[in-house]
Order: sequence, then C-alpha cells, then structure tokens
Amino acid sequence: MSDSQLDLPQGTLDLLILRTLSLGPQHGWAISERMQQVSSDMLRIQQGSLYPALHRLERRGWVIGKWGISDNNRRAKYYELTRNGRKQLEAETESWRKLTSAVALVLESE
Amino acid sequence: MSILSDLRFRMKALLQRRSMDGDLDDELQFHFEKEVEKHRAAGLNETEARRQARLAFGGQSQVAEDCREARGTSLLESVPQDVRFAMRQMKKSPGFALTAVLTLALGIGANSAVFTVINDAMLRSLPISKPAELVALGYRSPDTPRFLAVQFWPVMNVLERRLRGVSGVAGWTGSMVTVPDDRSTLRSIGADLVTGNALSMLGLRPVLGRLLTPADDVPGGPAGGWPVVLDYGFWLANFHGDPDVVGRHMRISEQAAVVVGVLPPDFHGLYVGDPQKLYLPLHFLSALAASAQQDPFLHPENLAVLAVARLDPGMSLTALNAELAAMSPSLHSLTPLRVQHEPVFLTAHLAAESVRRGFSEIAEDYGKPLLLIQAIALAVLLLCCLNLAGLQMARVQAREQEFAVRSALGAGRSRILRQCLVESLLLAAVGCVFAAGLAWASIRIISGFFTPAGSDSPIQLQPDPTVLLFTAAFALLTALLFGLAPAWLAGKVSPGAVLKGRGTSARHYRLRQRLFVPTQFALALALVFCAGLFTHTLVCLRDNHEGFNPDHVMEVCAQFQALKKNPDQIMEMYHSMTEALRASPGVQAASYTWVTPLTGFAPKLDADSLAHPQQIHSLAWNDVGDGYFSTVGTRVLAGRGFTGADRDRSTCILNEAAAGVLFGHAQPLGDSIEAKYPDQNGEIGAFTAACRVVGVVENARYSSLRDPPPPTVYFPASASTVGRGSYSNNLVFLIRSRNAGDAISAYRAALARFAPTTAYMTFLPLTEQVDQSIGSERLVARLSGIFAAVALLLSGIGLFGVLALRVQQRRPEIGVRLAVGASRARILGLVLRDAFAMLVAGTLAGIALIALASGFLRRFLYDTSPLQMGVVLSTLLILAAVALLAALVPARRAAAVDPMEALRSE
Repeated sequence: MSDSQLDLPQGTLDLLILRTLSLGPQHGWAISERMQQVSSDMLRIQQGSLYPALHRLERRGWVIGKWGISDNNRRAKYYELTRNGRKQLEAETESWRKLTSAVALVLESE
Repeated sequence: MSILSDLRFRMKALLQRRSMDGDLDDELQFHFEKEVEKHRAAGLNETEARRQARLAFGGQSQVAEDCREARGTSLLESVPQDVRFAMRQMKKSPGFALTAVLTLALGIGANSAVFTVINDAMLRSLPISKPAELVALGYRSPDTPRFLAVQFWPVMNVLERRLRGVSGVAGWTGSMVTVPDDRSTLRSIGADLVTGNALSMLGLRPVLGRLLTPADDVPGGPAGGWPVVLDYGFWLANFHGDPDVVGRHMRISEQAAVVVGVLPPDFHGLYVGDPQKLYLPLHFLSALAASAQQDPFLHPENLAVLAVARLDPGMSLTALNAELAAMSPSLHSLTPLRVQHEPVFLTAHLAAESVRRGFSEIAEDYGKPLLLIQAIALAVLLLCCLNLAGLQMARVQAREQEFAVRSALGAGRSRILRQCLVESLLLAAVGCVFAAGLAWASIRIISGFFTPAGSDSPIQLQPDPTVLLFTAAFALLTALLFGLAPAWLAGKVSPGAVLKGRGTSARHYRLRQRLFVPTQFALALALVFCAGLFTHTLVCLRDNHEGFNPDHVMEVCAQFQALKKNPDQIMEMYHSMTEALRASPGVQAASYTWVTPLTGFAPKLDADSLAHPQQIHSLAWNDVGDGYFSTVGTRVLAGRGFTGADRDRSTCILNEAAAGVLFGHAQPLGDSIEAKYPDQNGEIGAFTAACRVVGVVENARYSSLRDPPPPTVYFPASASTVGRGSYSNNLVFLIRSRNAGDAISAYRAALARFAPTTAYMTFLPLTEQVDQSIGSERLVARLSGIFAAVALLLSGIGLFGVLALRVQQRRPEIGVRLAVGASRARILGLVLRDAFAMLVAGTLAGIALIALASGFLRRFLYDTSPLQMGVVLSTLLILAAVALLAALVPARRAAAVDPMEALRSE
C-alpha cells in the first residue's frame, strides 16, 4: 500500500458512506471504488471496516439495504439513503465543516 | 434512531438469522467476485487475480462476525451458544465444577442464612395490610433511648376518644394459659389477650371463620364461652388442620371457650419469631385472676397494655407525636401512682412509634452481633471468590491453547471474555441453588440461639423473597468478582505467542502468588483470630459464675396462678412440696426462688442501716426459700442461711457487697437494716421493714454474667412474695440432684401429690440458663468458629491448587535439577519455600487487617484484650499447620519426580 493513503478519523467513515450514497443507491463494492476514485486513491476502504459500517448504519435506520441485480447480472445488495439518513448527513456535514475550519484556524494561526 | 425501531431491527435480524447469514455471505462473496473481476480487467490471470483479491479482503469469517456484531444480533444469539459450551466444559471437568459449586454454596449459603435472620428480625414488615400505618402509643423519656411500649388502660381510653389522626386504638397483652394436650395433661402456652378491634385493625383475613369483634370482649365473655382465634401453626399441630374446627369447644385455663377462627399462615403475632398460639378477648384476664383483688378490670388504673393504633391516611408519625406531646401533661394523673414516681416516668411524655416491623427481641439483643456475623460471612464469601478466581485462572492457563486457536479463528476479545463470564455465571447459578438449600437447612440451627431458655416453642425464622433476591444478587456479584480477572486474562491471550509455545503461564502464576493466595491467608488469619477472641470471651463469661454452681441444678417454674388459694395456703404448698422433693431419691437439695438467676431481671429496693438512716442505698433484692444457698452453691460466710422458721421480712441475709455498702464491714450480724420495698403495684417505699441481719453470703452474679455481683439483700420467701399479682404465685423450684432424671421424676411426683390441676412447664438445667444468658456471645463464637474453619479449608485448597499446578509446570525444570545432582530434600525445600513466602505475606497482611478492626472487635469482647497472646500464637500455629498440610502433597510430588521421565516428556 502506498504512503499516500490516509487513516480515517473515528466516525468519518460513516459520513463518507452517507455522502457517497446521497448520489444514489449503490452496492458495497461500488461505494468503496467510488471513494477511492474521488479521493484520488488516497482513501482505500477495507472490506473489514466497510461492511460492518454499512450494517451499523442499516441498524440505525440511516440506510436501507435492498437486493437487486447488478450490471453483470448478479444478485447484489444495494444500499439507499433513508430520510433520516439524509438528515444525519446534513447534520454531520455541517459539524465536519465547523470542525475542519476550526482546526484550520488553529493550525494557521501565528 | 428510536430504541424501538432499533430493537425491532435486532429482533428481525435474530429471527431471520439463517437467511440473513446467507445474505451476508452472498454480499461478501459478491464483493470478492467484483474485486477479482477488477484485477482480471487490469490484466492479471485468474489465479493471480483471486490471490490478490483474497489478500486485500482479509478473513471473510472475521468480517462476517464483525457485521453480525454491528447488526446487534451477536449478543442475543451467542449467549445460548455460550451457555451450551460452558455446560460441556463443566462436564469435561467435574472435579472443578464440584469444588466451585460447593465453595459457592458455602459462601453464598452462609450469607443467606445470616441475612435471613437479619431480614426477619430487623428489616421485614409485618404481613398485615399497610404495615407502615401501624403505630404503638407509649412513652418516651430523655432518660432512656428506648421507646416504652406500654400504655395504661385509663390513658388508652382517653386516647381512643380524643386522639385525632388515628382510627381506633387497640389494647394487647400476653398471658400464659393452660390447655389440655392430647393426653389430657395440662400444658402452659402463650396467648395474646386483645381488645375486640385489635385483629381487624391489622386487616388480617382469617383462613377459617372470623376474627375477634368488640362484641366478644365483654366482662365474663359472650354467651356460649370465650371466643378464641387460633394461630395457623397451632391449628395445624393441635387440630391437624381440621377444616371444621370453627365451633369446636376447648377448655382454656378451666374456662369454656369456642374456636371462632384461624389466622393466616404468614401472621405470627406482633412479636417477631415468637408465635402466640391463641388470641382471646382482653376481658379473659378477669377469668385468669386468682382472686377478685387481682382482677385487672376491677383496678383498671393498673392494667398495662400495648396500645396499637392505625394512622389515618395522610397523617404522619411526626404530627401524631406532636399531638401526643401536647396531650401528655393533662393525662399524667391517669397513670398509676407507682409509675408516676418512677424516675423514667417523671420525665416521660406520650409518644408514638411505628410498629411496621413488629417487636423483635432478636433485633434488640442481637442486632450488633448479627451485623458482625454478616461481616464475617462476607469475608468468607470474598475468600470463596478469591479461591474460585484462582481456580478459574488455572483453568484459563490450561486452556490457553484453546483460546489462542479461537482467537486466531476470528473470535473477538469480547466474545472470549463473555464466554468466561458465562461459565462463571453458570457456576454461580448452580451454586446459588445449593446455597439456598444450605441456608434453609441452617436456619433452624441458628434459630436455636434465639429461642429463650426452656421455651418449648422454638423461634421461627423464615426466608422470604427478599432473601432469595439477596442470594441471587450475591451469586451474580460473586460470579463477576471471581469471573472477571480470569476472563480479562483469557482475552489477553496472544494467539501468536501461545501457538508458538510461549504462553503467559508465568505471569498468571505470579499474579496468583502475589495476590490471591496471600490475600486468602490474610482473610483466613483474621477470621481464625476473631473466632479465637470470641471463643476466649465465651469461655471467660461461662466460667464467670462466681458465687454459685450451676452444675446439676434443675429449675422449673411452678404454674400455681390458676389455683384459687390465698397466699398463706400457696406458701404452705411451696414448703410441703420442697420437703417432699428433698425426701425423693437422688435429690441432694431443693429450694425455690422468686428471681431466677441470669434472666436479666433484677428488682431493686432502697435500704439503709439503722445506724446511718440518711444514707439510702439502692440494692438488688430477692425472696428465696430455706436451703436456697446450699442448693445453688452459694457459701454462707457468717451467721446462717434461712430455715423453715424464717417466714417474714423480720430477718434478712446480705451478700458481702451489701454488707460493705451498708455497714462498711463484713460482720453486721445482729445489726438491722431498714428496707423500703415496693408494694404489689411496684411502688417503692410503700412498705418499710426493719430487718435483722442473720447471715452474710458470698457475692454471686445474678442478673447477668457480664456485670459484677450487685450488692444484694435476701429475704425469706413469704406470703407477701406470692401476694404481689397473678404471676408472682409462680416461684421457681431449684432441685440439685445427681442426674437430671431424678429431679424430673421427683418434681412430677410432688406435683401430682400437691397440685394435680396445674400445668407443668419445661425443666431447664441451670447450666442451660447460663448458656442462654450469654446467647449473643455464644452465637458470635460458634458461627465465627464455623466460618473460620471454612476459611481455613478454602485457603488450604487455594494454596494446594497453586502449588500443584506450579509443580506440574516445573516438572522439566525439576527433572534437570535432579539430573545435575540436586537432592530430593532440596526440591522439597524449593516448594515449601514457595508456600512459606505466601504464608508470610498473608500473615503480615492479616495482622494489618486485625489491627484495623481491633477497635471494632473490642466491643464484642469481655475480659479479653484484642492482643491475647494465647490466641495470637494458636492462630499462627493453626495457619502454619494448614499451610504445611496443603504444601506437603505437591512438595512430595515434586521430590518424587523421575528425572528421566520428566526430561523425556519435554
């Protein structure tokens, strides 16, 4: 694995999954691929973290899993954002913005 | 996320577990295939693509387990699995399971048994409706911390009319009555005599028939005989639970009575543990009176009862007390004269106290010792926990391989931790069941300590749901205590190290050696030491019967209250019966006394010597028969004892202390004292007599073995002794004989000749009266002794377990040592040194523990310093002996190691 990969702070993975799913229903593999692409390969999500996170989000009612047929004609589980999940995404995005800007302010202060 | 939807999801996940597990596999498999596809698209061949995908994926079963955990089904579904697994483990090592269950049963059972007593005597509410509303109307005085639960009939009548905030006031009093037993012999039993509203005020629901009513409580009783309500236990024992008992006729104290009802099984009266057998109307007192003068309803100002009332809803005890205090001055004149002058009552005012828990003599007499015993039982339980934690650790160690493999296969740390805890809980649950059985069985034995001497109705203590809850809570606590440390260690097992053969054994062993075994020894030492001190106290007290010799003396209380004879005739009976007893075979001496020794009852009078009439002394006082001193073994130092010719208070005998107090020297023979003693209503000073001192006897402890002998004046028992009230007709016969059987048959024969219509009471050896008077010391000494023995056994097992395992593990090392020339004695010493180190560490910690507790212990000791050298030395010896015994077997096994075999097995 390359040095350019980043460790995700605790709880960030949930936010990223919710954000990825806000573009439309996806199955697990597609979620991890998309994150990797968008982050220019800097974020690579291990299955060992991804799937437990998806199941946790499903239990909390933020996403809902539905079985469908994939592009290669196979049975795949697609995750979709629920209304609660969308609210959660907004709330978490907001607090993440506040956090990062606050951290940036501190780091850039003289 | 609402909790409800979360739970619904979890439940759905659980119910559809099989299909969801399939789905999970499909989902992960899909991901894997996509990954392979991606690698293939990048130009890798099939094999290489799969290899890369698998590397990236990690363990699929691990991911699946994590998903299950995330989904929340894991806990619900894996617990039954864990339980089944734990049961298999138990079956595989029955020896461990048995030891654990027995240890737990002992530890928890001991606590439950002691708690049953505490709960019964000090915590539990009476089984009546709304017990918190029930109050007693009595007196409080700044001179005594105790609530005086007594009320006088005239005062009670005023209270019933004028007191607001309570509904109704009921009067209770007790009496002995006679009933014929199944062989038509008269038997004396306790009855409660109550006003007609007393039982219905409690809200009791009779099993059969009805309760007493105000119409029952009339002078002479209602037509058709005195109505009587039976205690449930009495009904079972005497009427064999006959459902048609209502309407049956009985003869109670020679009066016609008719059964009207049976009380519910859980109600045993207001006095905890001392069930009354019969409930009769209060006016039955008139029927019991030996003469019209003694009829309490002719002199109701002297009738003392327990007044019970029920608070109105919303009324507080504080408000009631304020109301009573305000009424108090105006009612003072209604109390009997003798009471008005008693020091305590001079300052007393009316007051109420809750009787939610009823009255408990156990709580008064044994409260502190019981808490001490509970503390000791808790220490034993802690020791059990340590012991089991040690055993569990040894098992974790033995199962390191298994844990390592399971951890390598993807079992999470929390899962292994839980597995160990489930095992402990299972053990605790089984142990708990046995503990409940043990507690149940030992309650009878413990109850025996509280039963008054000579009572044929043992105190009855019963476990209730609170006790079961307590037991279960303790089992849970115990399981957590002894299960957590090993579980934590099991979770820390590093699979790599163990599978490569480097375990964590050494660390476990050190922890056990440094912590567990010495702590066990420290606790055992403290417990043995305490038991030693308490036993020393007990022995000191029991041998403390200076001034009398209780061996071979039988006491039996006459039941002459029902005889319709005048005091002179009654006294004549005592004289003639005593003469008959003395003439019986095997009887060496016989006499009678008014105050029974060691019952704690010590009446006082005021006396002065005629030489110094202004110096008035308060002295203990007793009326005794002729030959009393030789019967109880009190030596006459000067002058003479009483003879049959001394029949009034013109003569008296002093003990040394009284002679010293009154005359300042021990030879007052022929001098006179002036005694102001109470009249039949107990009013001191009502009678004054000038008494000539005819003898001086040695000091004797009477009311209690703990207090120094009080200065005492003895008078000859006379007509005025038995004229004092309905029960003072009953003096206590003392019979000294070679064996108990002679005394009993002599008394039975004399009774049949002189008073065949009176009931017999239990015969009681005076030595038992001595034992009973030091009941709380006996309780503490016996139980702490038993607990100390258990503690010793447990710590011995603990040490043995550690050493045996240690020897097992060091076999190869010992083999090498022997091979290079170490002697067997040296190997033996090696193991014993190990044991000795733990013993010393434990001893030091134990001594520190005792030092901390010594201030507290001192309260329970008599004539015994907490640093009694004999006790210290024997404690250390006992502990060392147990340690040596426990260490010897493993040590000899170590010394017997065959070097060749040990090395080969390596």
